[in-house]
Amino acid sequence: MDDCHNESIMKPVFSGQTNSEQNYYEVLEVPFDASKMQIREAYIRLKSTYSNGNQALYSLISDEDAQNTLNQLEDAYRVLYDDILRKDYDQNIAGSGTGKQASRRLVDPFHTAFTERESLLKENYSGSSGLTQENLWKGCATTSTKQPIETANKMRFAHHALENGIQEKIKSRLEQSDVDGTLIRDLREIQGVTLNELQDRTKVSLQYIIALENNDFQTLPSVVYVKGFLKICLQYLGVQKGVDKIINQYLESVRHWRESKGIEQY
Amino acid sequence: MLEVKKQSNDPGVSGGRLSQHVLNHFDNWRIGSSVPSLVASPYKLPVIIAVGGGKGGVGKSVVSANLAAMLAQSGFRVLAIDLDVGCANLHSHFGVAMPSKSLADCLISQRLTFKDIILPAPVQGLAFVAGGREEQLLDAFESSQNAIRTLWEMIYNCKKDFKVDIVLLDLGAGTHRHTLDFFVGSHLGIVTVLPEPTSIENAYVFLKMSMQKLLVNVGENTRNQDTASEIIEALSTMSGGSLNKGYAHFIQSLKISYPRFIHNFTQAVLGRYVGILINQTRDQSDVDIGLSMEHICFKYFGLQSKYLGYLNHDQAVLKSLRNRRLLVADFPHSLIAKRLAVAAAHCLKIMVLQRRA
Repeated sequence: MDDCHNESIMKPVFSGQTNSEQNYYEVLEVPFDASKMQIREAYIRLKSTYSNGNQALYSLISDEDAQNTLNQLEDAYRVLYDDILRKDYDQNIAGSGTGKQASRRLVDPFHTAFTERESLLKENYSGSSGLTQENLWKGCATTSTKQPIETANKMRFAHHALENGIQEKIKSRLEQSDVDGTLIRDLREIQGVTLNELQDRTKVSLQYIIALENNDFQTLPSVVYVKGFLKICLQYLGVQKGVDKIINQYLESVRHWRESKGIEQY
Repeated sequence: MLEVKKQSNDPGVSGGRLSQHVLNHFDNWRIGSSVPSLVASPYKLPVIIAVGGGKGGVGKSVVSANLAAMLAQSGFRVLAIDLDVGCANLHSHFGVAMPSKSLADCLISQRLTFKDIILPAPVQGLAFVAGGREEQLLDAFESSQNAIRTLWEMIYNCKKDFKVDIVLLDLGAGTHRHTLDFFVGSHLGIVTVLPEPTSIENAYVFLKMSMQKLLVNVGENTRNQDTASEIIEALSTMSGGSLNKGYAHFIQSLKISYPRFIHNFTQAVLGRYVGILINQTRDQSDVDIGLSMEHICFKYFGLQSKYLGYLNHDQAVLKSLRNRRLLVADFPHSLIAKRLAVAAAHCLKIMVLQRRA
């Protein structure tokens, strides 16, 4: 009877656990040492499998269940595709008694050698780019509480933009006065976002951001571009409601200025 | 017939090819197979491939005939058997007129031996057994186990008697008991699916039924019929609609109650593969259905599933049937012939058979 409980026999056929017990690697069906490319491929493949209206699910799996699986997939992908989150997660599951990863590394000597070498390489590189080992650890400590900065489907926000206190400040600033460049500057300063950061994250050039803030309409490009700049900047700065209204008001003042200067509208 | 006889006497091909899968998983396969007492050694067992898939008109016979031809072209001795009891027409796909000798002559009237009813197909290394006389054959299959037992014996002995490497069974539509019996008894069961909801639903029902049949077989072979029927009863009352309610999960959860039986069943599942073949694809989304189904089959049923490939929608199929010639012989450079070659290569890979040099 003993061999009935041999997990290694059961493993390849029946995944066995309920979905809630699966770890992220099992959800994505990738090995523990999967590369980012593998993870991404697995994610895309599984996502298309469970996405709405796939005929292969017909009569077997309900929409609701497919949606649950999709959500799990998103979670798994968000963590595993991010190097820092993944490292954190690896430590979690290694410590929580499942120990699969740890045991695997012990079993396979090549695996250990390779991963050790890889992490050494990483340290070397991170040292040169200013991201020291210490910083990496700090990052790990805060990852569990902090909002994920970059995920596959979500738009980006400034670091503190979604916190309650900041949101209230933003709201009160929005109610204060008419829309012009100072609004953007104030929003930016409320959150302590530098010009460089804004340029870096929104990809709007520094020259145009300064022009927007100083109402320097001469420097600004045509209205369509300005509209796009405003949209992405406001989004990054955490404005969640009335974005269109602000943009329209700003563009109105741009048009007004152009008319007064006799510049052709386009 | 003559061709087969001649080749079987040829010393150059004696010994035949051994599939590593058949060798390595012989015991696993045997637990779930039908009439296992007839087969003793894995070295004398041909690779058995069954083509089924529930719905009618999804191209089971086209696939069987042409896959057999492709496997034969890879250098194997292949025997295709028409087991479509409802409507036997494998000979038409080979471009052969309704043969005078059929399976019924051997199984029912017994005036001919199995050797006599093997007919030559228009491809080197390929022979086939025609079906026909449907109602008598159906009666024989349904009334007693004897006919099926005799047929299995013939299939098992193919390698010993005729040096056949691969036996390909063309099954009929529907989920008759004997159809499932042959599907479950094979090493590789190919499910042909059209990219449309009805066909996919049928394929899943077919897989469900074949899993139940596998449970029955395991029960019979391990003298645990009661346990098997208990599990099947529980399975049929189980409502689907969720991965957590899938067969794989359900059977896993029974491991505590019936450890020995579930162990045997798991072994039996390990000994066989389910191949998925999508027929009549028209665009990329149709092709991707196969990948999804492979995943779902594994997750929901816990079966070892492999996506064998897809066959694009092609006028060549109809044309070759009208020309009364085998598709891959009539249009060897058509896209569908290439896809069939890919599918055959996948089959060989799964069965770990090496191409003849």
